[in-house]
Amino acid sequence: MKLKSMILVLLALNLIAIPVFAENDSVTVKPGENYLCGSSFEISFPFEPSTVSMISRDLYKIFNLTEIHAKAEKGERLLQIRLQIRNLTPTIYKGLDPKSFQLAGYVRDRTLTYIPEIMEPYDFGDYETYVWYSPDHNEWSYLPPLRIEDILLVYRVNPILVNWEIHIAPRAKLGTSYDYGSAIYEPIELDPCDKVFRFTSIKNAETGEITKYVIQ
Amino acid sequence: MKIKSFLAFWSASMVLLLYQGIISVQGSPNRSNISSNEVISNFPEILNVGSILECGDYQIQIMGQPVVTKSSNSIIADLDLKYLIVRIGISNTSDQTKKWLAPNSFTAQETYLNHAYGTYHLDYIMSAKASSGFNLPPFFSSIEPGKMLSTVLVFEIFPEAENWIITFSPSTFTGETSSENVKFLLPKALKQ
Repeated sequence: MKLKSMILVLLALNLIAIPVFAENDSVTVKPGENYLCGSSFEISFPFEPSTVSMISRDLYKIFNLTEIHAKAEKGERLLQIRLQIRNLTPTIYKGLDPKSFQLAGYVRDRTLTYIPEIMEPYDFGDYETYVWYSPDHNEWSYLPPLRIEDILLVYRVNPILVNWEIHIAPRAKLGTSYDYGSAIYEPIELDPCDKVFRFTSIKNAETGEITKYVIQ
Repeated sequence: MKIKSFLAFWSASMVLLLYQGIISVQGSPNRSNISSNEVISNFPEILNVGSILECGDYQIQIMGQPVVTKSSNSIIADLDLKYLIVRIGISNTSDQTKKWLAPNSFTAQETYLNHAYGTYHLDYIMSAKASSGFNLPPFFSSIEPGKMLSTVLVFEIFPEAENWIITFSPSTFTGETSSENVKFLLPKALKQ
């Protein structure tokens, strides 16, 4: 009887282990390296992620005015990820969904996931450009075929978490379309992009301190 | 004994699964595995400068390195459109004069990695002798038998492609359409 129950327990453990190791299409990020996501997107991270306490923009340079975009409250940090993404599909993605970029961090036995609070073109903090592209700082007008978009993602996170990873599966809030520009686009058979990118370190942008993680 | 062998088998299978897990994490594809200059087998070949391609009553050749340049039109420039400019020579190999080759004889298609994307129609044709501007009548002069017409094709494009495929399917304003057509990859364009 004991033997039978032991066998059953071990078999159950096996069944749990198989999907855990089989399902995860993930990669450990090296900054600056390009990765294919499925065959429908090309992705790279120019720098390691970093945390700040405040995101601000120069409102109008001539008046020397600064607007605070987001501020971390007590026990919070703002985690910023700069992402370069190239749409390899022949369609235009209309209204990129922030849920396309879900960040996860671990603490003890818990995983917390976050949606970006800010999702903007990365443009060296020029507020006028940000307003032009992204009036509420979390909108994206379109992602056309082949164009590389340089995006800044900002998440409001709990700083005690470790082993950060971002799950990228681009989706369009307003759908996709072949009707773009003067060219005529045809369907192409491509594998969808659905991949986890794991970070090995996070930089504190204010102190310069780098926290390294051992990927488990 | 049975328990021991089962436990050994189970441990081995777990180790194997763990190993596969690590491999699948580390072995994910990245861009370095893909040659950006790879010529895909079903893609047309590059037509190098000076090489000649036959197409029915015509021969076509590239007369100089293609150029991708910023548009001088501010509205177009705002939309990130650029011009793909390529100088070509078209020879008439028949014994009859060919009149007024139509702009729809040419299309350009952008390519990236192993896929071809949008197809662009010809926007402008420029005489090789013209000093400036793209505002010449959008058709060629007649091509006498055995003669070559040198001209410049201009496509308004979004300039994100690695390479460009040109399709030449001759048709004229006089309604003469060739059943033959040729496709070729342009040599690497010079970006200005």
